[in-house]
Amino acid sequence: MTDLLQVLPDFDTKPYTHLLPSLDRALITVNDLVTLESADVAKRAQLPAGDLRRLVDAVIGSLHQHLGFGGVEFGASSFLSASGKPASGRISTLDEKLDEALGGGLPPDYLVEVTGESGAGKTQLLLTLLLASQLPPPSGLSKSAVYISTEAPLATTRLTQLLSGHPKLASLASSAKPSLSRILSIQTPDLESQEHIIRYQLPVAIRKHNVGLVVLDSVAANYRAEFEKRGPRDGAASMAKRGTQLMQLGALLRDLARTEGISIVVANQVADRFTNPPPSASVSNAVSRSTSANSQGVEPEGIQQVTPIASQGEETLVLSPDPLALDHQQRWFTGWGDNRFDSPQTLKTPSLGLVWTNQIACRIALIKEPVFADRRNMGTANGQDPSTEEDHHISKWKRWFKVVFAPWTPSSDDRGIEFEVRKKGIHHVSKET
Amino acid sequence: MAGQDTPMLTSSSSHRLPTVSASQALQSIQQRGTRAVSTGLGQLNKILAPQGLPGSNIQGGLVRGKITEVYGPSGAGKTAFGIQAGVNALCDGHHVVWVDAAATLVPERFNNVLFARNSSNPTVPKVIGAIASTEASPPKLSPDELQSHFHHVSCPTLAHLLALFVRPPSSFPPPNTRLIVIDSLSSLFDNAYPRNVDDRTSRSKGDQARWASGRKFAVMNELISMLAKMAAMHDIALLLTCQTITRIRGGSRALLVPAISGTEWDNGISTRLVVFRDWVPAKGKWNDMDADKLRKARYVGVLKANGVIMAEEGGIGNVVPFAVDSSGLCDIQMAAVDITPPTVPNALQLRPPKRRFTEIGDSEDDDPDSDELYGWVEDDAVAAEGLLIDDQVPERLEDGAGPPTNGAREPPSKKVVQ
Repeated sequence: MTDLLQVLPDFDTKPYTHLLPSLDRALITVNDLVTLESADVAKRAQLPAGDLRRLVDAVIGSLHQHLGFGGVEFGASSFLSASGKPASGRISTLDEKLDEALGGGLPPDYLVEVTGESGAGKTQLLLTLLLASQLPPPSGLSKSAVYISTEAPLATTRLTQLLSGHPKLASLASSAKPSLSRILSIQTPDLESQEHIIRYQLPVAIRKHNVGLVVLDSVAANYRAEFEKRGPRDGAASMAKRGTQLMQLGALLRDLARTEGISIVVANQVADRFTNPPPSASVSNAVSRSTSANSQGVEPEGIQQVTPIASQGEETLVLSPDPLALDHQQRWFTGWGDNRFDSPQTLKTPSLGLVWTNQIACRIALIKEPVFADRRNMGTANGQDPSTEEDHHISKWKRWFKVVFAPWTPSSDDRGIEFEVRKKGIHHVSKET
Repeated sequence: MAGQDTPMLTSSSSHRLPTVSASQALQSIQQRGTRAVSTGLGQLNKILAPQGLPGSNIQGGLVRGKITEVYGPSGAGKTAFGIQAGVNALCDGHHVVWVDAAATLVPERFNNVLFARNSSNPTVPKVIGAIASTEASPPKLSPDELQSHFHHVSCPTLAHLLALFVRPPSSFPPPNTRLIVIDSLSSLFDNAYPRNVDDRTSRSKGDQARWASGRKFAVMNELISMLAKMAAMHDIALLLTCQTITRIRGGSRALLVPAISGTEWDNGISTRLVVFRDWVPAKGKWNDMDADKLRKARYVGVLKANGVIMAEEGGIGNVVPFAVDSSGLCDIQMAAVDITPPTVPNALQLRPPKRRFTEIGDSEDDDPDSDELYGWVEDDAVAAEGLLIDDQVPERLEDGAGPPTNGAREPPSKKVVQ
């Protein structure tokens, strides 16, 4: 049958093997078996009704069991009380401020995305997590990690550097130290191998090696390469197919995280965003606009209720025009653009669009911005005029760690936590320096 | 095993609701107490209050026996909304069922809101009953007891959800359940029935394939009718959360719309709310505490209330601002002015998007075509690669930061006369 083993991988199909091929041919899914009368399904697939009814009953029984109803009373639930101690199993970033922003660290069971420009620090953060997951609680899960790379191989030299240089790692005794041997790494250069490895090999590896963290670096790379190969003629169809594959990947990773109790962190790239700058933040202008709207308003859609409230003299809040436009809402769920005073040139959007955003549970954005220095005062060695070309050059980069949305912790205020990447790892920038 | 479930045989067998006389119904309404689960926001409860008997003041909120849908983009506050409603229902002494379809609910988060609510005002609930004398104040339960009334179910696939609601096991829903929350129902449908352009454009489909591709809406309709039936029969308030997808409306305006929609589906939903974020308002007369709240401000728009449609697609209806923090939702004391975008933008200024011949099919509105899929074409990655569909973009960039009253830059010019 088309999706029986995907929905119920442990289902015993032996008594029904004679039914499955016909169901397959008739394109009947488990959803159909549950919603349609078994007599109708039997007619459609040309199978004996009695046999089919038995199959349907078995499938429904199995689904109920999966949900936790296995024949026993659906009694008092221990979901809330079982949680117990907060942050008992979290993977730390090995920096207090960043951990604070994350509400203690990354918990298991969720699909998390780390997104940012190249050079923002994504790989550095991921490498830190690979080491931290091996530490005992509260910094880690005492488990191994898997690193799936679609581009470069695992940066083992950097890992060694972190082990010897990071203040939280260098001081540990060698028996308690994380080791590279507990990080399994694999490269998936194309979509097909990525799909195969994640679907079939990864669950086995997780159980065999007691893995607590899986890192996929990066998710966008294979999709871009694959779907750009096909010509412009196929553009639309391949876009749709990409959407479907992304959803399946998301569902697969989410399910894996939940059933195996691990954390899955995926790195994602960004692209530039083109958008109009927001209207100027003058409240008075906007308020006058709204009152004129009210005076004209004969629209029956809920405006009348608002006018009497406004006349009571309370502070009125004016919303943006067209607040549900993608361009507007994406300022808040991408991580870039939620500050009115940001220049539009620096805005980025994570790749793979809204489809992928809907798959992830948490998004962490690493925001990078240049700091310009004026070069006008520098002398000219060879007589060239210094003020023509580059009056400004980038003296350094500032980086921020921002939790855009997460189920377990509130989103970061403002830009997030400023941090820097040093030889000894990722550390927040304290205000005094 | 399945034999025990024979009373709830199949969808076609009708379970008649028990009939009562009108006077009995009147008495029972007054006796049953609150008709809704409070959302935690007074302003919103007022808007959602169902039509009551003259002289009585019926508490509004998530109405029992009906389905409420909350949709919005990631991080807007849908789960927070569900948590507050769940806590309110628990504190009234009832049971709550929480069905997770995508990300699992974080127990600590729910517990924080529960303990905050429980410790603040246990004997004077936020939910003021219709006629106070008829319902005793909710029993003061210990936190452990409250937690034991919370039932959590994980539904990894749509088939699991269907097995739960279309063929419910005999012990579901647990007795005295007043609220069922299904968090992120749209994820299940998206995974089970991915939107595929190939379905539409291929002409030579066999009968089987055509039937299979029509199953999505059939299953959706079946589900919504069974959800409505369960809600009505057990007098339970059902809350669904739904993610958003992009649709192109009126030329090249990319709008976020609910990921699940359809005629039957929309009819089955009695109340529809949208949760979204917006700019933090500029410095006004508010004090520091309010300013802090304003930074965490979200907005919930009422698009449909108890069957009455209040705003069209893309509109936001009557908007209530609120703030989310670790102790739950709280009201923000101010009115929000509704600026409803018009449904038809100025057609003269917008050029229609370029589409290839093969992509223009006789599609119904329900099936998005390739341009509308998930906002791919609006995705700036695509724009960056030079595959701009939106020809407006260069114009906007040239205009620079023009004043907001420049009508050409903001095509939907509301109702303001320029």
